[in-house]
Amino acid sequence: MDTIVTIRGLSKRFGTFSALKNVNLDIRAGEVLGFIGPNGAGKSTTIRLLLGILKPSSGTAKIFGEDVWSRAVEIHRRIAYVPGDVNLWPNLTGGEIIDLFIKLQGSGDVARRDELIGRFELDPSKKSRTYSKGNRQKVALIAAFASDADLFILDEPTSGLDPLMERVFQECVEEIKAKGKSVLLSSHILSEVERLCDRVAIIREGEIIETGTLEELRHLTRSLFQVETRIPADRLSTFPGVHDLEQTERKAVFQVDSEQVGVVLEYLTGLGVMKLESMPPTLEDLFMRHYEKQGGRQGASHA
Amino acid sequence: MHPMPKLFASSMRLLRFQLRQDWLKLMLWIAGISLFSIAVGYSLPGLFPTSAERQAIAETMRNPAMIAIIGPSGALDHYSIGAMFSHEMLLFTALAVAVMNIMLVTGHTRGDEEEGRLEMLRSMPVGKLAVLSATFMEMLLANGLLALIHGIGLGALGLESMSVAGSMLYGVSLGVVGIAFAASSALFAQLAASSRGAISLSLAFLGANYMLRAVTDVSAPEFSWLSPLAWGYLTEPYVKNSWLPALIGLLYCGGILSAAFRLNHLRDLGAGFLPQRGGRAHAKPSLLSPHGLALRLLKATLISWIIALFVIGITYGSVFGDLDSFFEGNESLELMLPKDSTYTLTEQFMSVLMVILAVAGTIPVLTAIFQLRGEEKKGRMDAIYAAAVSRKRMYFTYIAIGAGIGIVSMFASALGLYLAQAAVMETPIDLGTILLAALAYVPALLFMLSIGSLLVGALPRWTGIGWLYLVYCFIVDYMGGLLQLPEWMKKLTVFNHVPKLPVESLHWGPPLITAVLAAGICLAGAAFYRRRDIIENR
Repeated sequence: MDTIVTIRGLSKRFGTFSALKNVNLDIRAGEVLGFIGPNGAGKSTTIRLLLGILKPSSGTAKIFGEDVWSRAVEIHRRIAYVPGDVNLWPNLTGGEIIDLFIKLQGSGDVARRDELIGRFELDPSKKSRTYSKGNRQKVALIAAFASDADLFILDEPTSGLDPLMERVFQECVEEIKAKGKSVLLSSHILSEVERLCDRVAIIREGEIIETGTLEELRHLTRSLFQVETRIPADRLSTFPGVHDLEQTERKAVFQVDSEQVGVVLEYLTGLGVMKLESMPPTLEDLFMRHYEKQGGRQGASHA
Repeated sequence: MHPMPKLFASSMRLLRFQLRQDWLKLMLWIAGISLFSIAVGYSLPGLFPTSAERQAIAETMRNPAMIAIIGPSGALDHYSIGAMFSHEMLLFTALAVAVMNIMLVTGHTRGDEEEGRLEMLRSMPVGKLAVLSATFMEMLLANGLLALIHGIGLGALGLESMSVAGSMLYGVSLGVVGIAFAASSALFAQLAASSRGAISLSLAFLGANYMLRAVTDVSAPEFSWLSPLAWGYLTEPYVKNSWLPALIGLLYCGGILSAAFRLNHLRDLGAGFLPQRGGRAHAKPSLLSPHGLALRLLKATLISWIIALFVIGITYGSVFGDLDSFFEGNESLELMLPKDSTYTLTEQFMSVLMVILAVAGTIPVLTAIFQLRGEEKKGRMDAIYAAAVSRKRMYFTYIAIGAGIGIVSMFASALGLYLAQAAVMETPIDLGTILLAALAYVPALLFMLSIGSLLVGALPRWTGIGWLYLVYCFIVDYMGGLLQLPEWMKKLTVFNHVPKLPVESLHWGPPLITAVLAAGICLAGAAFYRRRDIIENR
């Protein structure tokens, strides 16, 4: 598979503050890469470096095999970008700004634009100062999805959208994915990432701490088990990989590290399992775990 | 009966909060203006020790052009240090005080409202009118402090002709003009629907006041009493010490402010009273390019400036007729002209006027180039540079617009000057002479543009330096003669190197060097701009 974006050893300092430390990341052709991390972790800095808006302190980033800083304009003809904080000119209408963005980006078609304006239910004749956050985001989304770009860089694009519009957004991403386009999707809405993304990268304090498919990431973490056994499972708490155990006489709810699942199941089988439910960890669990583990908060206890 | 709504609840708390945000800004404004006033007051006795010297200056003030520019004086026959100081300084300083008030008031009313900060405040137990009342109280304090420092500072100079009472009135006059414009801005902030609209309306009101009083001071002084700006010098500190205009100013503030409160109470947050036009669903082709966007964003500002400069030209031109007839009857003044001079005094005055027109013409030029940074600051450049637009293209787009507006500015004011003086003078100056005198300043304007562009490229957080330099040029070129500033200070203003046509002969050297320097600095700015981060800074 071709690699569209290659980031190698990318660092960015603002004065003495290191916003990004030695980041390595790839986006492959046709994939949707989810980019998640807490506020201030460096997601937007990474994206702004990729756009050539910030200059790297060290390291390289390439899109379509070209350097993002020196070949910005050429690269941008094949990129569509939606910022998280959409800042528009208060005196221009949404329709004017959509046309401007499409024109400046260089590709896009009028029929597709009008179709998107309809789907996102935007009134394009209103001055953008009257738009809510969600409507401002729609302006940027419509301009981006109307373009014929090969790479879509979406920085928290749905934080202001209502659930209906969020669904339209997800459809749009699936459509461009079906056309073989690549997407970098930074988001806090983890269900959205779970649904849309092929791979996920987690960033924290300027460092990529995890990359992989959701399956691969799940393997690194715990699953939630709910069991009911004939004989009380009173030795459960002595297993090393078991966490957050809540136990009544014959029922137990607990999490278990992926690599310990086999051992625990073996033990439970001997006790006569009456009911067993297991839930794979959600992305939120993954995220919380990374966040808590490295954020210095207490252990692995969470809801 | 409804209970009285607590419209002003938390005003005092907001006032303290605003003072904490603004104290540095306020101190810089107040200290800057006060120190300048006191320094001039301190140096005048040394510069003009004898009454004969002062009287010589007074004679040059006794004509319509100077009255239009700096205002009238009732003491030209006894031009004491005090009379000289209040005549030459009050109107000019009052303009700066008015700008200070306009900026601070619109910032805290419309500015905070537009950025959504007011919404946060209004969600708390804060009265509907609390922000406006806290802002006005802040301005009362600021102008009061300014008045007090002027009164004490000028009074402490201990000059015979500058009594403590006169000094207090001088300070109060400045303060009254200040709060009159604070109240006016508070009113305009209710009428306009955006922060930019409120600032434009308020500045236009100030400009109109300056022009109105220029015309009435020359031809019908009693009508000058209608202008809030004129209430400053109508008190005639150190001469008549009349408190009446200050009193009128306070009454005006009361009236305007209650109107502002009423309108603020009536309207919704975020709305204005002037109609908001709807828009088009799709862009016209003219918008769809970097220069199309830049021109569209700057259109309203630039057109207003061109009209304003044309009107300034007309205003100055219209006093040329009075000037002409005045000189005809004044032999002693004609003797002051060099014998071999082939130029009339009118033409000499024109060359002085040109400096003022050039300084005014620089304002839209700097506004244009600083828009590039303004857009960046508001986070709007990201979307542009994420599209297929290069830094170089955007930078030189703004340079081209700045250069174009510089030429158009000088042209507009020259045209206004020509048309007005042609209408009122028996032997008008011809268009070519006026145009050449005006266009000789274009390289200087380009130099100012290049300084602006270098700041945008290399020191984006310090673009204010560009405005400071313009203020420096204005003070030195406008007051340099009066204050007898050292030659090196004059050499530092770019306008000083422009040949003063038609009185001086046209040397191509200085304008050419200025233009080449400007081009070089622009290129340096471009090099910096292309290499730096785009910094959002809301």
